[in-house]
Amino acid sequence: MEGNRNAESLVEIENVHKWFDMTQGVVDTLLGRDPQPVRAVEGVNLSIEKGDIVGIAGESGCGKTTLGKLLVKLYEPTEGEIRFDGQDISDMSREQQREFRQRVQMIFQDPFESLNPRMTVFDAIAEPLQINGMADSYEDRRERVKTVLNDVGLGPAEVYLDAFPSELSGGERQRVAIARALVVDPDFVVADEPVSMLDVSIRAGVLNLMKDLQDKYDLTYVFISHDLSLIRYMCDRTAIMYLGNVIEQGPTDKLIEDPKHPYTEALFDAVPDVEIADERRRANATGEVPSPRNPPSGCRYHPRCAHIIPPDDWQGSRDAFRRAYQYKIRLREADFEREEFDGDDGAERMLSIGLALDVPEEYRHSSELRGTGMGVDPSELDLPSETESSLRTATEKYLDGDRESAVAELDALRTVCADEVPQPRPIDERQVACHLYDDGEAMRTPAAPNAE
Amino acid sequence: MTLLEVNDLSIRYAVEDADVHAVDNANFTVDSGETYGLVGESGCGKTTLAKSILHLLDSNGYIESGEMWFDGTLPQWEDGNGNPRKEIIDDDRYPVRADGMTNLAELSDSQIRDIRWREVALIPQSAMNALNPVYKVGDQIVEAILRHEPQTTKREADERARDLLERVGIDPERADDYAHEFSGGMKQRAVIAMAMACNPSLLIADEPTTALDVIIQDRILEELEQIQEEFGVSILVISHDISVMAEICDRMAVMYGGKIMERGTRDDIFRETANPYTLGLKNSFPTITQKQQQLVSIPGSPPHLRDPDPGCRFRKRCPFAVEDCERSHPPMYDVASVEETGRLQEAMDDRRHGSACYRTDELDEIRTKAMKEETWKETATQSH
Ligand SMILES: Nc1ncnc2c1ncn2[C@@H]1O[C@H](COP(=O)(O)OP(=O)(O)OP(=O)(O)O)[C@@H](O)[C@H]1O
Ligand SMILES: [Mg+2]
Repeated sequence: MEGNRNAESLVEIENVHKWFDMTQGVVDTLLGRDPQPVRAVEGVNLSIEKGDIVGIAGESGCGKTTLGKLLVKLYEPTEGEIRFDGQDISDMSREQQREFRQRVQMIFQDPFESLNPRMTVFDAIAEPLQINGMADSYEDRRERVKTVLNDVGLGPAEVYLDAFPSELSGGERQRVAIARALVVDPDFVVADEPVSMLDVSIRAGVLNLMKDLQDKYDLTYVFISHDLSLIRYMCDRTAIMYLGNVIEQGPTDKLIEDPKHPYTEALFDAVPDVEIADERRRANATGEVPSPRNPPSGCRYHPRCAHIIPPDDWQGSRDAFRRAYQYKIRLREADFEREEFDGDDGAERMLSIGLALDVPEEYRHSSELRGTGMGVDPSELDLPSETESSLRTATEKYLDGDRESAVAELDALRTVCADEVPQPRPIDERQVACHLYDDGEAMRTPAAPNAE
Repeated sequence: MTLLEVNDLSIRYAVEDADVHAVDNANFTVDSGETYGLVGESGCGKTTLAKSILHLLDSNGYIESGEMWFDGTLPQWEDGNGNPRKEIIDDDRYPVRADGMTNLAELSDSQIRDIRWREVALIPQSAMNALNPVYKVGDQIVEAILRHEPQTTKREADERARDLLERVGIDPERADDYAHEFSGGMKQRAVIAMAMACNPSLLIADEPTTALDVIIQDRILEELEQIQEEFGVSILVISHDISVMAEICDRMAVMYGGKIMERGTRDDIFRETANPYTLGLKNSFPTITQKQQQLVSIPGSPPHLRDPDPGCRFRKRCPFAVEDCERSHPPMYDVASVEETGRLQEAMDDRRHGSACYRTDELDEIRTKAMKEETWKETATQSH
């Protein structure tokens, strides 16, 4: 971790950014918008210790795969530095590069695509040996490939050597892909969703194999997965990513049993489980992941967050602040269609709909539950009266077509979460990037309105 | 009350010189208002089974045999109360039996169209990607209503579309948006709303959350529960994810290689697990709540279904296989009566806990052994 450089660190990632520029999305082209770079990875700091299995988890598009590819030098960082065994991997001599290509390997998600259909199992596994100039004679290569095949559970090797990928099952193919990574005896392996294409009944075999081989080959792994149950099974430590940022990292068990970042909490709450099916609490998060082309300011997660922080002088409840603030965002983004709110009661309707939260039922306000869930009674929310009246004024201005002054009317609704990018802080054996912990251990109040 | 009763259903696909036995001799019953799950790994026949109910199989697929009795019938066969008329029931030319149930398997292609949407709606696998991106979402729902209920006015249909969207948690004003403006979760909600357009009594949802991120999945699962509560609709849900199934299903069937291996209530399946395949599946599935766990995979890989031999479909991977298993696939045994009497007794009632395994009378031993890792290792060496 930053500032805490351990002698045992194998990989150090320091303030790494990866922006994919300028290829325009279809929608951008249609609307004639300027191309925006995709900020796939932004300011990531992470250190990976020898012998660990480090998980990288998060929803699709959060930058997991990009980070993985940066680690094996399939991408170059836009900014920042990655050091492998102390050496900056963007600045290596030819000899160092050759060594790096042998010591660092990647396993990809799709065993059906990562193998060349015209190569036999032997050719596929022997290829990295040749590329790396290891095992010169055919006999040596044959022996080495056989050993690895046995190691990955494809034994007796003779049965598989001359087979083509099409003759293998999914699990067998992924084992071949693992063998291909291990044959050069690497130190560090990045596995990107290595079992997600496999049937459940064979997944466990591949996972256990990866664990066994870790001891045998003395490996350090990065294990990328969107599946948090797999992360729990595999990883000593885990980094949770959201929109290009690592928002929390630390020992996996700690993260799951006592998540600190509100996003980590929501993510784990959302995982269905055979054991606790009936009592499970749902995730308290609104909306979906916004586009990485235009991420929210400050904490990337704040527009969805259940624990968004009101200003110090806020007199109402936190739940009421969350609603009022989301309303402000929606005004700013012109999320309401004015024509829909014609008529005398238009402003009231817009306010009622706009202050409702799109959250699971257990987190709804009592007046939301009485209706269809799409509207709330503003007077029943614990809003300070001056806020309530500026919300009304803002709504009227918005409906009059003056969006700018509508948003200006709500200027008092500010939050540190939107204004400042939270820096990772050490808390209880982990790093958390959330303003709740700006003063150390947080005062977190419940976000459910019924707990007010 | 029974809504759908599937008896001895077998479905084949004709390929080259062989037949794929995608579903073989399936029996199960879905009650009104419940959520029934079909769970199993890729290729076990879940989608095939679901599609066959509405005659939506690929063109080389056909119902080889079996019945699908459904509580609902064609409009032209109904009396004023929506029940089949007596002369229809009495006339053997119509596939309607005395209790008023209609055999969907025997309907013609034009007849089944009157069942689709109105009585049984299907949300296909990856349906959210099938929304037409250049059409307004509301219009797509309106069109579905008008197509299946021609007597409805455009205005009524429009109102209903907005109401449906609101009920699945989409702001009705977004009815005028195009599908490409919707996020993944909203698309999936819209697809659910569309399926509910004609107020069906059975909703079939094929992998409704598989392509979604976990937080959105959580919301869609809640949505399905709420839809069920509000409309009283039965849901036949298909998934390969047993933890999703554990959450939403009242009862379920576990499929393997085209066969139903075990069926029962959720508790039967998860707490009183009886079938070796289900036991193996549970062993291989990680859970988020358990700190120390040792996953064990089932050795080998799922069978292909081309002209399968008559033996138990699972026997090649099963550590408990005996000679009997080679001869024929086991019938469904009634787990509770076998445990009570110690004798193998075939299941008479689809609703009771059933397991297709010749060794159901040695359940205690099998359960104990199935928990041990070595048990599943031994077959691994045998089978390769
Ligand atoms: N049109 C077809 N022709 C031939 N075989 C087919 C056809 N459609 C499906 N199959 C085969 O039928 C079997 C059952 O397929 P089905 O799609 O019903 O499985 P599934 O359980 O839904 O799988 P998944 O979880 O991957 O969706 C498989 O072996 C499949 O390869
Ligand atoms: Mg399917």
